[in-house]
Amino acid sequence: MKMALKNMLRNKRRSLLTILSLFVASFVVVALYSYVQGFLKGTKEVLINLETGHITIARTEYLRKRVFLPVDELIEEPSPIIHNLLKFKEVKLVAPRIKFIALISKGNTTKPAYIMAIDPVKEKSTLDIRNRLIKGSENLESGFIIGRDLANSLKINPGDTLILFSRTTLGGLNGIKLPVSGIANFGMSKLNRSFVIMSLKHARKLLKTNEGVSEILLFLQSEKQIHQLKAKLNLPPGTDAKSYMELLGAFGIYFKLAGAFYGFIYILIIGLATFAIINTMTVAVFERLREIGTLKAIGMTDNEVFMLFGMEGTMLGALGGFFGSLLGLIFAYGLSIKGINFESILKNTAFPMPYVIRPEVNFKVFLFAFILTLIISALSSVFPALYARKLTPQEALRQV
Amino acid sequence: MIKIIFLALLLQQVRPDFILKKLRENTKIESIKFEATMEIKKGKRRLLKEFYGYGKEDNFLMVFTNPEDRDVKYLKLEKDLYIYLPDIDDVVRISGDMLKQSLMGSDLSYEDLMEDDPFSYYHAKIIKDTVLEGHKVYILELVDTTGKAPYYRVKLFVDKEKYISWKEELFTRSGRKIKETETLTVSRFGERYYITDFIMRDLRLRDSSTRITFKKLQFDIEIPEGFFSKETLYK
Repeated sequence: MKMALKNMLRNKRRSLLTILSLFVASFVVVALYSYVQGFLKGTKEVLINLETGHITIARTEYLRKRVFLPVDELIEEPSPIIHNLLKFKEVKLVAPRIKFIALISKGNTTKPAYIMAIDPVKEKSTLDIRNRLIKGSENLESGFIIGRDLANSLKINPGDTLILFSRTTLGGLNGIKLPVSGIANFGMSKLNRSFVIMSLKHARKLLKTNEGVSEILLFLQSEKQIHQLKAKLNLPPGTDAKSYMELLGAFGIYFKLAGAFYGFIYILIIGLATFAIINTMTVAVFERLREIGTLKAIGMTDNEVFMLFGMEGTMLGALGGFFGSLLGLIFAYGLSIKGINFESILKNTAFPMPYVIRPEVNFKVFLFAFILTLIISALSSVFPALYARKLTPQEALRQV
Repeated sequence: MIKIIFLALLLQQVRPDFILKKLRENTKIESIKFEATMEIKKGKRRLLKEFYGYGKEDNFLMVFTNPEDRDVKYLKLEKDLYIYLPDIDDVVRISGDMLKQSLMGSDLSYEDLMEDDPFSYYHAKIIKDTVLEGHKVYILELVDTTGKAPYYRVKLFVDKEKYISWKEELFTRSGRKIKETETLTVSRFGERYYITDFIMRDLRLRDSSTRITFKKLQFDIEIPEGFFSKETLYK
């Protein structure tokens, strides 16, 4: 080991370049992984909290036509279902909601809006309205919370009265007039432009339903329990349960593909770094043929020569990998404090991605990248080390 | 020979405009009073709405009388549409892009109600003469030349004698057929023929249709000045 360290220091520039390439590779792997995981996790979290829960229960017909948010396919008596769901220990929260499309009007301006009616007490943690508020209060008992861009386009301020009108469950037309309690930044362009939150009480009055809800969202203790719980649910006929991945459709597939795609990129980066080590160690073997021949002539065994070169490559990898992964982790941590704000790019798109991406700081990623670089560098040293091991003193000295 | 060809070409030029003119004469009204039903079918679901109303030149007022929508009123004042919502005793204005929204969940958009002279945007040409379910018709193709029409291309099947359309097919600029109407009954009022029963289908919606049937129609009635105003909605 001492000798391997000495050899590393003998050609400092070459060793430094190899360390640097592994440093960059492991840094990029950790930083990119943290960013990608932050993006995927952040987007998934927003979609689960705002759109689907871990599991959504609704009428089968509603689920089939969910994209249109039909108000004539409500679960009219949700209480027994909710009561049953609360018995499962996996369930953290049962959130009944009504979602529908309505027109919202102030003065002479009318805009379409995506309405979500919730139980304000139950859903404090899921929607996190308090932290999203820009102006006004989170009081849903007597008013609406409205998306920032929609509020701007209607020139609304807290306290202003809005008319919201929609088709009722009976197929008629009805309206409700309420003040705006607060204006919120929901952190996603699609929501800021059209999102209105109101209480279930007001929505039921508008839609002319006593108890009806369009969806019952289940938030579980752990995402891993989804399939297990879904299999246990005993729902009334005509109702069905779907996991968030089933509901997100193409976007759910995107989550899976993104994981595989970035996995491929990590392999590419590590592959490039592997070439750097193979290159460095092969050059080292050829440069030091005289030395190998001499060492073998004075009694160094094949295994000791193999270990010497193997150790040198692994040490280069360990140094580059450790510091690269560490800096990647620190970098991710730094960015995660405030997050990376993509609002200027995303504000005019309908892509359901949160404005702010917070890279995920995960010590396991640091360990993974470090160990991976270590293994890769050890493995990529094998080939040149084997070559050095096979050389006889005569062959080594003849090639000089 | 050249004269004959020239005459034939001239006739070809004149005929579509003549047909449109006759169509306009049938649809253009000075004033009207009506009672009608609107039957909306969405899959197995069926909704029946009843309404009455008045129209004069560019304006109209519709008042719904079925229990679910009792006293909901629609007022068209030139280019704007106002809806009176009785539960909150207030009025909302619909304009611009919002006019493309569905009228009470039907296959009609607000825009479909709004056009006073729907043929004015189009250049017309006759595609062919044919027989449609026993009616001799011209098939007319109208293409929007102004960029203002709600539908870029319209195919009309116009009765050769009565000058009403038995069928309309409405297309987007990309050529996709998005709506079609089918006339079920045509009634005669003096010299005028008027469609009193028709079905509209929005082909973007699955298994959906809306049938409008006029139960009573009176033309050229007296409507007082100032009747079509927002104040009327609150009465």
